[in-house]
Amino acid sequence: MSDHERITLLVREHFAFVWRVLRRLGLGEADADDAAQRVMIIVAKRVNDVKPGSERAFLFRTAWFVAQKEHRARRRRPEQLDLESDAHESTGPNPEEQVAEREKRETLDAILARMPLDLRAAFVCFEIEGLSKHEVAEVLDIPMGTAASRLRRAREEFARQARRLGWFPRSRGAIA
Amino acid sequence: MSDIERWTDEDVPDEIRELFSAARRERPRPRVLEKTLLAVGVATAGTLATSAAAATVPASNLVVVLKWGLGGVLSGLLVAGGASVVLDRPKPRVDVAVATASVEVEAPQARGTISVRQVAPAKPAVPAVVTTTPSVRPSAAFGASPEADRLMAEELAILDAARAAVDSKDGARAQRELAKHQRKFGTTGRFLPEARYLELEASLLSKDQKQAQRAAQQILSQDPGSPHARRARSVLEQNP
Repeated sequence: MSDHERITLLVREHFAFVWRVLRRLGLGEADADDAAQRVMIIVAKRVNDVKPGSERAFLFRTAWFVAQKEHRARRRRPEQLDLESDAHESTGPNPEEQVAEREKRETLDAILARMPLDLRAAFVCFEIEGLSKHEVAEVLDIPMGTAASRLRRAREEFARQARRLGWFPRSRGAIA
Repeated sequence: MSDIERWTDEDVPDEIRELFSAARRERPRPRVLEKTLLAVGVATAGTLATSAAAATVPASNLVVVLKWGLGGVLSGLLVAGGASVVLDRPKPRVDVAVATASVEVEAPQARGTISVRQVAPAKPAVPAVVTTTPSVRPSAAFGASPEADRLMAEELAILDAARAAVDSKDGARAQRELAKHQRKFGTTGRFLPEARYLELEASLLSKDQKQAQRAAQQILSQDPGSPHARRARSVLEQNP
């Protein structure tokens, strides 16, 4: 497979994954569009450094760096409205279902936004996007044992923040 | 290490599980993917050509590396220019002849098979810049030859023009650009899924439901998991 073919495949297969990760790491839809493009360009230029089988870990790690940079840049500039946030083409469920879906995502993002970025990255990586424990360790550049303890802390923090927003009854769930 | 299971495999409240599912269902707009593919093509045009040459040619053949590097830079410029300009014919390519020998590179069929042959005795004592037309045959591998890169630049430029027409709601202009793409690349283009998606949007703008349905069916039959599949299904459902 040529580099070009591999890059095209990477972009086509993983673009939605990268975009979702950026959204969960706190970027608005329009910012996620631009940032996902930057991630793909970076990865395309370094395609020879991407080990087969580690594509998602490499992409997540790059997305995390880009998201951190975006957060730093955002602190330096005035808040901008995400004018495209409601501009999704009506390709999915009916309008009521779309509203319900959006509300769920907004709730999730509100909980995640209250978490420290390193715990948030670990949580999104493992619990939402389904990367393996090994991939989490690779993404965060930490030993497997540290990854496991960070995931536990991330889970506890998520539950704590969810409870504060009324989304995690103390009597239910694995985390009390 | 102490093991840890995925939380959603354990006893997580359904409300929380639903939040995660909603997040996993979120998708970017298809045209964002398409724009990214174009941007990645533009951004990597020069680097891939150059790195392909550097990786496969012995250091002693510096002249070949220089030639490929220059070709890469030129093809990068071609691609960058191609974002707004449609190329109608091959551009002349600047070639470098160096004091010791002039060499010609046969385009490889795949990476790592560059062959170099002497075509002329050592002549000029001073590096000279001459203009030639491409003498390489097209190859499927991106960055494998200037001709292949030129074709890709041309395809990207046509699709970019079509996308711009769709963005400005000009279905007729978009369809003209896509007809040009069809004439030039038929079924051998590298960005056929993007072309099909643009065809779908252009047909809808032109109120050509039958053509839109055909494009939607092609998207689904060629790649049901494509990022454009949801849009295609939606069009078919709305126009049974």
